[in-house]
Amino acid sequence: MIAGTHHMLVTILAAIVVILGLTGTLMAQERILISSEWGEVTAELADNDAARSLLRMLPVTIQMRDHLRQEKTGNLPSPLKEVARQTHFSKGTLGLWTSDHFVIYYRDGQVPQPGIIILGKRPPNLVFVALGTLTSSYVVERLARGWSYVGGQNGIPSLPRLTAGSFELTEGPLFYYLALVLLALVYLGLRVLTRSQFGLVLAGIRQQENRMAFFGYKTQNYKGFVFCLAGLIAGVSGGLYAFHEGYVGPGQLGPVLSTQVVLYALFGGTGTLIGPIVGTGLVDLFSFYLSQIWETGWPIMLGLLLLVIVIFRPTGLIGFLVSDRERVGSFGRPTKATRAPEARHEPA
Amino acid sequence: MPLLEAKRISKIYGALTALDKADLIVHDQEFHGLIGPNGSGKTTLLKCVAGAEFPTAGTIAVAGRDVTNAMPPERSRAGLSIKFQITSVLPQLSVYDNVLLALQAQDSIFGLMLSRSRRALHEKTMGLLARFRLDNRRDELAGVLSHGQQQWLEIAMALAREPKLLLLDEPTAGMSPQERRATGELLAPIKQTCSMLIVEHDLDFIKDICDSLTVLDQGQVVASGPILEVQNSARVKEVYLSHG
Repeated sequence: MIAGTHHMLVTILAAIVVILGLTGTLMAQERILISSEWGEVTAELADNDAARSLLRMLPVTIQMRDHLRQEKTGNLPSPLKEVARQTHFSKGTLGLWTSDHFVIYYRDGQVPQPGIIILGKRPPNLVFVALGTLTSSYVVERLARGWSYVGGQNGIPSLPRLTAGSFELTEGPLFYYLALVLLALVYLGLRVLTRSQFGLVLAGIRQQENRMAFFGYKTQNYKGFVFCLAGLIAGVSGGLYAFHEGYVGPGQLGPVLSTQVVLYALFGGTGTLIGPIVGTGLVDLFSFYLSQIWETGWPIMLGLLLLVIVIFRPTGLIGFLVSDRERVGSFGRPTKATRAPEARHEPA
Repeated sequence: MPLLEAKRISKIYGALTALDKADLIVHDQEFHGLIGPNGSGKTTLLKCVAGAEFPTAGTIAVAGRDVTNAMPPERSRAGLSIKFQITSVLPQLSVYDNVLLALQAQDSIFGLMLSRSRRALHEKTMGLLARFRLDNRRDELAGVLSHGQQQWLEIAMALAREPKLLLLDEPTAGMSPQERRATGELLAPIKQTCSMLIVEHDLDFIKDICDSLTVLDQGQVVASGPILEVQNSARVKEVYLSHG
């Protein structure tokens, strides 16, 4: 369809069927399924009376048309309850304009007073979160390149040395041991955490997040916490790196290093703590030797090696050593003494 | 005061009337069966009680508290717990860990990080597992259990929250006759602590375990009351036997 016709056909009728998408589980936040000729999406309903009265109306078919090139809109069979309104909306917001005027926004923006009733929104997709993190790292890199305070293209050269009191920590064996001790502490801390009851909740969320919400777990909080914790650990390692090199450039903010970290983990084996550590060591070792064999083309060989591993051993190199059962692990054991003798081994 | 009182519940999907002014009352320490032919609205009524669907009209109260418009977590706090027809145990976790997840759901994130309730909940977990004959399989993955055992595990997880009323949607669906009998034996002792509303196809199972019965046909209540009374009502025989 050419663009001109499309513009004229703003009243294209998109038959939207909103049906209850509760596939056998109860959730803390009600989700609905919206299907139309262009596909299906799920949306999370807001926690208000208007959304609840919409839920009771389901399933419902609404004829929708485009409006202001920012929203699709149509009339509900009957009005919804009136609740507090707001003027701003974002992409994916489900709203109510007059009491039976249903709107789905596909842009961010504002409406005049008295505003709209928020009925719900499309939850951010995991892929979007992952891509968003990567693109934002690119954005930050570009910004840093243009910011003279952090040295622009040249980065920050000659960082002061890491000090403890009057003691100056120079690179060399001492710095190595400092990094090793920190690695051991992080490893032990995470090992305790992943095997705690908290770790059990994370394992549950990884398998069936909806079911976990039905138990009463606020899964967003858990995911948010783990995301922040991962950021904290990456921050510590970045700090160590900067002191070790005595220099940081904008390149370290970009997607290249972020991707490299993901490759370390995939190579060694995700789902374990030891996997990424092994992966980091091996990838760097391979890079070192490959670069001596083939000075210009070694990244291609490394890339092929990683590809082979990820295709044939999705569990990474550590998958050769531990079974899937051991990778998942057991969580809720009080002490070894109360375990049955036939109980299996904990993950490596 | 009845534990569950659903009054004149209607649920209309477009042109289809799934429920038409259905009443349902479950008393304390009572096992109540809900039967009817396919499409009679029994699962819809159960979902309305659980909060998975909202009725088009009517009211639902649990222990005198109106929950008609309450979202599932609020209903859960009012004392409802549900086990759906489709089993949704976490297949990649051990049987033990599945039950522990259900038990520790009320703990704070901080408490869970320190594994504070691990010891205290061990006894409870083992108790529930033993009650449902799963204690010798506690280290196996929930996904490798037989269908019947997964159903039991689900019931154990639903009971972990110490509900006042447990809602069971076809607990014996897909079970062998032996497993059916065993399920009846396993459920019987629960009566001391909790009531139950059971949707079932299998009339014999209902007869064995339930005290009272509601029969639905085409969205309407045909009969309701003590099991012997309902069973012998001519209208029920007509509805149930004619549909097989």
